[in-house]
Amino acid sequence: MFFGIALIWVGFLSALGASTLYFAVGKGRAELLGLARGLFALMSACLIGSAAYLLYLILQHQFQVEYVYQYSSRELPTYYLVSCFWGGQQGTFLLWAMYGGIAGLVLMRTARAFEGWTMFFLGLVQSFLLLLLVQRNPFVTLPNVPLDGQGLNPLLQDPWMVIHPPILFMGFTAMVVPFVFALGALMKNDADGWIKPVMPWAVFASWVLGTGLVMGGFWAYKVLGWGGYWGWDPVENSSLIPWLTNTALIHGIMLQRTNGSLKRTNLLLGICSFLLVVWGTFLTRSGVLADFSVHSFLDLGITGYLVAFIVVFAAMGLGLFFWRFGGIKAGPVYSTIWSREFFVLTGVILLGISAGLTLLGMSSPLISQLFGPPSAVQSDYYNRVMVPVAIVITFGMAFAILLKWRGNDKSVMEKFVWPLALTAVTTVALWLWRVHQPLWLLLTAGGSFAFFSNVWAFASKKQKEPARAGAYLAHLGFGILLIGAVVSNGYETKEKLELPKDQAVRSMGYQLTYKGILGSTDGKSIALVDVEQGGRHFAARTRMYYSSYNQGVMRKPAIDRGLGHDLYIAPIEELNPARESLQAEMKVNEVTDVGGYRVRFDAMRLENAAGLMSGAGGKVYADLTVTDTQGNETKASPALVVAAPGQQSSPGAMPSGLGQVAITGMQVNEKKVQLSFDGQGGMPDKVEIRRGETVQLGKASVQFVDFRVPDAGAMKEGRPASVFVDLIVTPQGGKSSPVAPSVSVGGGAPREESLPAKLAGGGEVKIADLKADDQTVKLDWSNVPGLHPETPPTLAVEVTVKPLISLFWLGTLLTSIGFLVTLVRRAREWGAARSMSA
Amino acid sequence: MKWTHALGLCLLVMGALAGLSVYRKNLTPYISFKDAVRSSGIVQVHGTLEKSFTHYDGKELSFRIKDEQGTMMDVRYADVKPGNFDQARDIVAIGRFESGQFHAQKLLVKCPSKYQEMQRKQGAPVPQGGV
Repeated sequence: MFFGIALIWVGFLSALGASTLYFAVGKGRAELLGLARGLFALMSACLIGSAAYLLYLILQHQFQVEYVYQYSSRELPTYYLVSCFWGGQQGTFLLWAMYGGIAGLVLMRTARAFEGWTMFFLGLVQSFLLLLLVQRNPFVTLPNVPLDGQGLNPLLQDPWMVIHPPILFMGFTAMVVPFVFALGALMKNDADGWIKPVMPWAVFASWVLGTGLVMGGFWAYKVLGWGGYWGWDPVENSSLIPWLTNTALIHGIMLQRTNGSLKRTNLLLGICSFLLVVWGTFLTRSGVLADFSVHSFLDLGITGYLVAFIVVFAAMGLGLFFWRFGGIKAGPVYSTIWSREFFVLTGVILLGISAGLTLLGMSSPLISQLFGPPSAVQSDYYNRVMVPVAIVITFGMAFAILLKWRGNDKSVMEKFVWPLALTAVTTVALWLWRVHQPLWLLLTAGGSFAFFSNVWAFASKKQKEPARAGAYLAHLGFGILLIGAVVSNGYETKEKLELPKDQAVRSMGYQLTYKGILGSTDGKSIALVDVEQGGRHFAARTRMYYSSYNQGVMRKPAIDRGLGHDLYIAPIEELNPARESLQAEMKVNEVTDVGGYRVRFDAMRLENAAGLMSGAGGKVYADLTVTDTQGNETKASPALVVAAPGQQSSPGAMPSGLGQVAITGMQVNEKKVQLSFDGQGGMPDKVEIRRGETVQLGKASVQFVDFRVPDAGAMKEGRPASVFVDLIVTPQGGKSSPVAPSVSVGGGAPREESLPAKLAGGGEVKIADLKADDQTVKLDWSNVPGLHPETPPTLAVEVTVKPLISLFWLGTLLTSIGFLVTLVRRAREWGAARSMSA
Repeated sequence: MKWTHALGLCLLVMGALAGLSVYRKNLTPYISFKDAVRSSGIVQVHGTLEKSFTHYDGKELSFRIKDEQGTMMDVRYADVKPGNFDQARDIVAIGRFESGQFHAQKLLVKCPSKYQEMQRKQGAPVPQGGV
């Protein structure tokens, strides 16, 4: 759409302009500040405007926009339509750029002395993102107006997926602020002044990105059915790595504030986090990992841009860093090991190491190509290398909080007594329970030590200000998060079960009874399992349905949550031997024996054949002659009613001033179509045109070229499809242009109803499926009593008991709250510093 | 250099070496069927599914894939059949070759995506066709 494309272009040009002006401002031309701000604000307005416009187009089902067509559809409820915004790459880049624009608006009001240089670099990043959007514009239109979109991946149709991507992208965007501050500090040759204003941003970035990561994990646990929340997939890793380096930066800044150390490290960390975001984006979006990840990444042809993006900013960032490197003088980090400084430093180093190890694993397919065949690493690599690192981190978290800044505290030993004692008790309890693997036991011990130390340290403070509780909360939350992760993953019990319908099966202290498949209004059928334990019932509604979007069976688990453990029931499949054996496929004129019956398929009879073809609906009969054991002959004609209640007409836009044209009826066999116009430009209300005919109507001539069914196969198989009517419209004195109104047939799920036919001996036969082309029907005999021995349908499930997984989620929640509390504190600090200097 | 620095450096180097060895052990090279047959470790192979050889009994999935050189390989996967397996065109299997068969621990199913098909036909997002 022109408006959107124009907005992106204006945004791109004003981003270039703003960064050029801000460069001059950085060089001391303060008089240009007003103009620079204005241009940047214009860019932000364009981005907010185009995001709002794209959302509007999605909500209004404007399928002539390719992006809207590809990622949304009419059947989606409004809240999922919102998530169609980030269903595709262009939308996510637009979201990213928009957040960057908003961050810039805040930055220009608060960055003070750093405004010129930070906004210059931010403007450059924005220019790159907008260049990408110019090239892969989300507002590109299609030559025709499709009736309906392709829909949203059903996996993403979950409330968590409505909020997870925008939060994650906010975190990605926030990483740009430490980056531009670090570069600004290097330009100004001021390695000290940037840490106060950058602190709230760094905390914000880790908070938002971390929260986004956890939400993604929660979604995976709830929807994907493999039972975990973290799989070391490139998509997850690419968000984790910048989180680790940015969290290292937060701790590095704490040290720099205390004693002026780590100045160069902090600048490097600030630069790296953003570069790692871009690197992760490159790996996951360019298609280079397509053969190594379960996520199927598409190469949108943006690989070149992303490479340029990384190379330019890495060269700029690292170049500036090494240019200033020698001139930055920093003090020693610690004077004694028994000080908080030493253990915070340990944390910074270990966070950096974890980032490096994850980066190595994630980039493995690319790195290994330098030495031999491209190789990915299995997730076991991450588990093995990260556990020792995490153990040291947890002990470091405990020591850091129990020791004082600058150390030399005489009463230090007594502070360790209670936390250590409680840790010992917890560890023994876990060992007695079942945690025997030494490294895991050590990690749970470290997690408890971190938890108890932080609780103890906060409790023994003289002034317990909630505003200062952030770090304690984040650290104690992280401690229990690790305990939950180790126990729920390492000590789960799992069993594959086959549940015959209505027969109770005992497993792991539960009694499970499969109750059958229930239909559901959203078309995602429910396989219901009743779970009973000690008189308490839980109705496990696992889902199993076919998704035409993913072209596969989707399975969603049911989870009975509890404080002690979760019961996780993942459906595998319904085995229905009876249904299979009681269905027989027959061609016309064939004779088959079904049980005691001899069946002859005489003819396939169509009622309203034209209606069937055009999608208006119709009926297909299978005429059968059934002879029972006594030689009695009956005629039976089960039928399949094909109705198209979902039929929808999509008008086509006529050349300007002529309004719209819609299809009101069509007779495909007679090659006729009835059209209606909306009265603009003297066009008639109703007209009938034959194929090939050209008629003069109002201010234009209209030629009906042909019917067109893009997906003819779909129509034959009764799946939803669209029929387009290709017109060529020539306005008086204007140029001819193609117009293609359409009707959708079947819109949404195919609407077929099988009408059974009664048999003389009792029972009934119905059509299970039919192929009109081959004159073949599949008949279902399951409602003929006594025909076959009854084998109950059986549901295969995987049942897992996950102990203490609630601790994991609780830990993530507390850590997230801890970050938030710290964010408020650091933002206030910088606010106060600003008003002091003003 | 203080003894603490030396100790810290020592620990870091040891950690790095241990990490690298774990890394090397976990690398699964992407190789041809011929090399997979000869290799003893865990590898990754990629091939086109030969539809008529697929068999699934609810507990184990077996199928045949063909690589670019036209070499065939039988794969066994002792787990639930992936939901989109029936629509699969290409399969990436991770596992090891043992006694005449490839025992997969993990499968990545590659389905022909409607969207990709469309991208290929640039400029004609809705393909032509008659009733």
